[in-house]
Amino acid sequence: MKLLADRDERFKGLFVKVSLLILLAVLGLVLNLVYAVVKKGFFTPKTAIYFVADSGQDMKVGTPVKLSGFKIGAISKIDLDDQAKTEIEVLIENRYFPLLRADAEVSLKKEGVIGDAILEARRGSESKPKLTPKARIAFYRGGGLDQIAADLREKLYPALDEVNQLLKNLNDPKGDIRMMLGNMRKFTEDLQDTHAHINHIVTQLDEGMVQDIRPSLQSVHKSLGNAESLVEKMNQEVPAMMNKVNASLENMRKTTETIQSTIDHSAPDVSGLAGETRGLVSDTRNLMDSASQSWPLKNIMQPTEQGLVKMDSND
Amino acid sequence: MIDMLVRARLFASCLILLMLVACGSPPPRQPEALDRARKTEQAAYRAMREGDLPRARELFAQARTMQQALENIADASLDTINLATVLHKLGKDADALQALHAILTEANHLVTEDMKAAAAFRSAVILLDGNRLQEAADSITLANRYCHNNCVLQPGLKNLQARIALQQEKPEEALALASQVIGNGSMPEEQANANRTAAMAALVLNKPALALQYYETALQLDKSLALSGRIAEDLEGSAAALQKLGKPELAAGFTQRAADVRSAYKLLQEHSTSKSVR
Repeated sequence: MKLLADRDERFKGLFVKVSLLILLAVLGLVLNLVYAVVKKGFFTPKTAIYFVADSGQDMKVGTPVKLSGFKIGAISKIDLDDQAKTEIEVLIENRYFPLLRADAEVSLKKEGVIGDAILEARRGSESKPKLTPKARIAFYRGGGLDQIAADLREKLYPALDEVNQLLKNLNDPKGDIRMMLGNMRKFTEDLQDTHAHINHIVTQLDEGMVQDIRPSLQSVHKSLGNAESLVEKMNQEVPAMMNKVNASLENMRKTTETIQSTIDHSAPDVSGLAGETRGLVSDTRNLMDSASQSWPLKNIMQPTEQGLVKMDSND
Repeated sequence: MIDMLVRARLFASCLILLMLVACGSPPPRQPEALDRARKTEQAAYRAMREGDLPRARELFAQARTMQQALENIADASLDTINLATVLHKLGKDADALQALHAILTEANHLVTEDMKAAAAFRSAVILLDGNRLQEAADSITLANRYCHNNCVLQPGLKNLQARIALQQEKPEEALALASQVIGNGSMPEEQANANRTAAMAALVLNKPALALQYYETALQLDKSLALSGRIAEDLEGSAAALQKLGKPELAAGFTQRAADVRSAYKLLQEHSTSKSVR
């Protein structure tokens, strides 16, 4: 028996109505969940492939794999192998999987120069067979500023080594260049002896013979005279030149050291620096815009230019 | 009594504080698109001031597109005329004339007569540089009509007429027109142009002493305006006048000075081009 008589017509069948409403709400929630899961690709069939990288830096589970700008999969697992290298499992959606060939490769890039990391896939050659499930593909890093800095370091180091080697050769007393300069000095000294010798012969020659060969001898004499003056000049200039070369070498050595140290210290900071600088520039611009329009700065700031660019009748 | 004084001081302090706050508060921000268009215009003026003409062209074109999208006709016209001026300085006269023609044929009342007068004047300058004398004369007539024969462009228009008369071998007319501009208190650029045109006319009329006088005034004005190309023209003209006056040594000195100025001008232009390319 009911304690209170339910006389209001509107309360009739209330239990059924409320149950229906709750059921509909639950159904709605479930449908929403299913839609989200389908949209996320949980039920999309996928095939696993693998690659090995020296480091797992910038890669995490969920990092997308893109082919021609389309997401075709994502990293599903990252692990260390027995050689302490990073083994990465990638799940590729089955509908895109046949696009990849046996020599397909992936590279780690940034979306934009300093954006999020993505894996960019390359199909491989048409002539190669299709990629098989669980295959291992090649991987290389590329893209972002960190990588650019690392590449730059890799390219600059050998060049700097070569410069260092060159400097060593230049400084080496038995090196080609110093030997060459030494030989030149000896050669010029020999020339002086030859000159003296010919002078002596000319004075000893028979007068008749002298008539015939005098022009030739005079020519030789003149050439040697020129050579002698050249030698004099070289004797004066070579030591000064060597001093200059030494100074230049020392400067070059210091410069290469500075470049090496700069590369070592700055490369890891470049990426962060770029990100922070972009934010800082944006903030500063906003701040300056606002400040320049406010009293008292707006009275100090140069007025903005407007109107027609000047042009006179003779322009 | 003391209370009243304290109250008055408090009131005055509050008033001053209110005034400071009112002055200090930034003006309301313009809509973002308009703000961006204004900033692009400012960047274009800056590029122009730095001599980076290719960048100025690009920025004025961008600013014009933005103002057109905002249906800000007056500012779009201003940007178009500025763009045409840059195009002319870059040697792209056909494009410049096309842009100015668009202003001259615009029926919208927001394109003012002053704006159309400026467009007609600039068209005349470009046409005269291209030796299209009749079309230049037509543009001058059009500019005068929009100007109602009384605006800031008048001295420039007179100078253009004088140049046309000179090219049509009417030196007396050229001298008379240029003389109307000389000493009328117009812009120094137009004063210098008038003096130079008058000097050229005087040379044609075989009055080298008068020509030299005009050239000296033009030279002084151009030096104060730091216009290298025109300083060289003045020096060369002075040399021609001195030659006619029978002073070849002095003339040679002026010719040498002109050559030096031209070399320096060329170097400056090369520097500015390389900067633009960078």
